[in-house]
Amino acid sequence: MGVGSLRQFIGVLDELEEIVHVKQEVDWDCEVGAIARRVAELRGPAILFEKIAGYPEGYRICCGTVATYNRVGIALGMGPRSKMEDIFLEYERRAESPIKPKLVSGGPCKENIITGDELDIYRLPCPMVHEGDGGRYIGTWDIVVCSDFETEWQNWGMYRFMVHNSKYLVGEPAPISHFAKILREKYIPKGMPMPVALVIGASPICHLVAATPYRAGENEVDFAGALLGEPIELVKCETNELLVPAHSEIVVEGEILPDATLPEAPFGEYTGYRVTGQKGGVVMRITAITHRNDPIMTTVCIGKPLDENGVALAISMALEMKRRLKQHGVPVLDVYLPPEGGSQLCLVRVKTGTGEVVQKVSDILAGRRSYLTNLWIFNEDVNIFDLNEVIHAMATRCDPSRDMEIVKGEGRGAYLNPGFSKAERLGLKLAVNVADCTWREEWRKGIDIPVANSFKEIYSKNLQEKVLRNMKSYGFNL
Amino acid sequence: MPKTYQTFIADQQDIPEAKETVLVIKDLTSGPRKYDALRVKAIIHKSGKLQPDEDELLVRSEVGVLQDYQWRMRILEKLPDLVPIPPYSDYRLSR
Repeated sequence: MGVGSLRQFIGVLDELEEIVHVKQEVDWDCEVGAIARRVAELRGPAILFEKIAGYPEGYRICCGTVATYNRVGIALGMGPRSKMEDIFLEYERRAESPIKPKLVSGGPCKENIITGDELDIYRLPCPMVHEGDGGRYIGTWDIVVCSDFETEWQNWGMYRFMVHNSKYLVGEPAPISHFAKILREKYIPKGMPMPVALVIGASPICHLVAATPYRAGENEVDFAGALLGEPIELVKCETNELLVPAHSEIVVEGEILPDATLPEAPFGEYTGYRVTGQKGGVVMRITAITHRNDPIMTTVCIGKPLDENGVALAISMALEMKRRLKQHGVPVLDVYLPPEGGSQLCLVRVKTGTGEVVQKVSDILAGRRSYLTNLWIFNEDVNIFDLNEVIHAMATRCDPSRDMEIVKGEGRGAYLNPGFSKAERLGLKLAVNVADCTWREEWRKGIDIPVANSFKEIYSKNLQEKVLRNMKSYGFNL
Repeated sequence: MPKTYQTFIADQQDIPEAKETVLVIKDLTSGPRKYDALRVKAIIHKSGKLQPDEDELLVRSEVGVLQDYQWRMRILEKLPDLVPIPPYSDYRLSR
């Protein structure tokens, strides 16, 4: 069903002319990032940089893998030009049937194994992504694997990791992430280093899943298998017991130190801004690097929409939010995080827009931990994937004097919100504007609820069919 | 031959001139190890001519904006890589 490895995906993109191979030598120091950013902002193709200055032939960098919904559809095996709504539905349908992974004894990611004195992260073309970032980032489009030693839970997440020197990386998994939860609750109290593996260049499906906030205890690899349509093949790391996708391009193994820190950041982030200064990050001591021959490093030049980070979160976070709403009995139809909102705006479409339903949505999506600043709820007739409809409904159906509530809190919000002060970000301030954009629940259809002046709603079915049938003969080519 | 390094300083009003200070600096020498980090004890000066035992230091703000003048830095001592503080100490996390 889905595409099982990065190289397979690149092959499919080649056939569909959705990728450009840059054969001219480029510099890992900001040039790769600048090209990727420019192409992302123009909604361009994926990019495979084939010649990196100062690195051996064959060492490559790939950007923009799933930076458009079209390429997400391709990764899922749905073919090109799938409608966004269909991609969401298909993703959701497959995710209902998790498939356990398959353990294999070897794989392409073991073609080269580097340990001991030969360990040197600079063997890989880690890019300086944005000019003025705190350092070179190896982890931007990655899968960070860690595990809770008391259970069988192996957690996947997508966290940025910066190169400090040849032996140490420093990362910034969000303080309310599962990575941080496991580290703080299980390893730091015991003074134990936490084994970790940083996977680069797995199949796009695996990366999409890593970016999804599943519940604590759920193995993301099971959902990746569901999207692929078959078990993900996993292979054991060389220096710890973690399992990683066997077809990955690069795996950096290590341990997170429980009693040390190093400065990390600043870094231009998914909100579209570079907002935080240096703070103490988690330190990863590298214990092994394994990689395919001619390895391909996946990198995202995160920034203003649209890029793979925004697209991934739009789908994965939205569908996980929808799953949670459904589990709590909310009559939810769709959830969408438009990339244009920097992953901080959430749109929810419900079957019935009663006060009780709206309150439940607010409690579930804004009441506990949340990265959102805006949560807008709409009636069934609004297509929340069409931002024209969203803006129109928000502007015309929401009465600010009664339909808006600010949900506030501390210690469970976003640490990257550009609109908050530094102190507020450190305090993990939560502030979500919940807007009820549904018609008042006591309003009756045909009597109180206004009639929309739209083609589909104000003209009879017969007249609509006649007009659509005759568009060409009227002289229109629409 | 002097080298050029880079560092980030949050409080641009209170840059510690002419006194010992601990910095994490990044080596800007071209090549595959560019941006390699060091923790050092150093003394930095804004003005004056570069001395034989000094290097150039570029300073960026908290959000990565480069200051438009160069500092000169004398490295007194290279320090151990790691800061012995547990991670997430900065954040005020709720239970």
